Amino acid sequence: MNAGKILLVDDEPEIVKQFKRALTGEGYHVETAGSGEEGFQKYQTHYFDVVITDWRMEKMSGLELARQIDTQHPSTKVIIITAFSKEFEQTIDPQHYHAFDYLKKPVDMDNLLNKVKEAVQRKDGVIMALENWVETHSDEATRPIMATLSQQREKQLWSAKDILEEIKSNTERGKQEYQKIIQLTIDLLTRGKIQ
Amino acid sequence: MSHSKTVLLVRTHSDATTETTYHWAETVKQRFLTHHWKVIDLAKDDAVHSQVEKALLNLDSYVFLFYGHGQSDKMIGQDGMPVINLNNLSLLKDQKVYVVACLTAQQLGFEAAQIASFYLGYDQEVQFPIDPVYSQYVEKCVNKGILAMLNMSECRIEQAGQQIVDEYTRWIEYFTIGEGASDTGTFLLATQLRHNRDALRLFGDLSATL
Repeated sequence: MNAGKILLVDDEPEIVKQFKRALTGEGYHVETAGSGEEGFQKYQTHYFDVVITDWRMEKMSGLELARQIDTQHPSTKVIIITAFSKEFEQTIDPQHYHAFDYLKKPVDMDNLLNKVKEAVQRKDGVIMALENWVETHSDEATRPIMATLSQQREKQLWSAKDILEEIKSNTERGKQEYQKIIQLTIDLLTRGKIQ
Repeated sequence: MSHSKTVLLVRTHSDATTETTYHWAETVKQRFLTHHWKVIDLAKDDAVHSQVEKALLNLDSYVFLFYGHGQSDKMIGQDGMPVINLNNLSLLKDQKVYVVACLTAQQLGFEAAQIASFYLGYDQEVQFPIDPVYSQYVEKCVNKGILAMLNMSECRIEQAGQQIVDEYTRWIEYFTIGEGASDTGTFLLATQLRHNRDALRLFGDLSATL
């Protein structure tokens, strides 16, 4: 069974229904949204491995949603669905790394499932590393690893497991912790400390 | 031995977090005593507004050290009430202020620096593990500056600040690419050290010494 979490965003209920059925049949946990705004709202409260979104929707387009997601989790895989593939190719910046891939309508379901499978396999490295560590260090991972001298928040002690949950839930704390990990990694990479 | 120099140490001990920083402050206290300074130690129930105000009003010149919880506009006492905030900031006039607390450099430190000799603090959360095996590394960093000034009378606060930054960097590297690097756990510690390092702020007369 696949444990990947998928966010499905489309303003056509029939497509949502069809995709959801196929994805849940493969064992994915699927959340749905009927607009870009609703999709982003859901994304802000939960981490998703893959976001599948229609390109053209009212107000927030799939591309805009991908941009918003990129500001929080650059490694989230976004698959954009479009009936206007030529126009989409002209619109999208070739350097646009937010989108993992795009698929033309009508979508071949096997193709979609393959793309999703591929995207889930390339799971966010930070989350994967934390998940592995928490799994293999169950005692250590539940002990407080971080305390703060601020009374602004009720909670002052976090374990690695808590931090992982915060990141996966996309909370403010989770976003901060994710960013700290990325920043340190970038520091080390740019200074040639790690390769 | 003359007690011409006085340090006012304010340290709370109200939860697991401040229990740790309370002990960090003890290290500093002992070092000041070794150097024959007079230490006014307002600890635990004495780390409250009335006591701090009384002490600050009674003598002309202090090194003012605070270890405890903070917010952008206040240092918080044992009773959860501010010991120093924007309303009684004038108490810090001409003081050399060294603060180990979250966020106070955002507003309080910035304002205090207009009248204090200097203000060293953090404009984001100060983060650290509770486990003494690991928290000792954060202690080394947060205390580095004040101990450097104590050890070398000519050490300026600007140099002390740089020493804190260097100490953080040293341990960040130790836990990521050095001998201390073991797994994700030590990497997470390094992220906290980096976070603290980048949150350190210094205002006021950078050439001031103790």
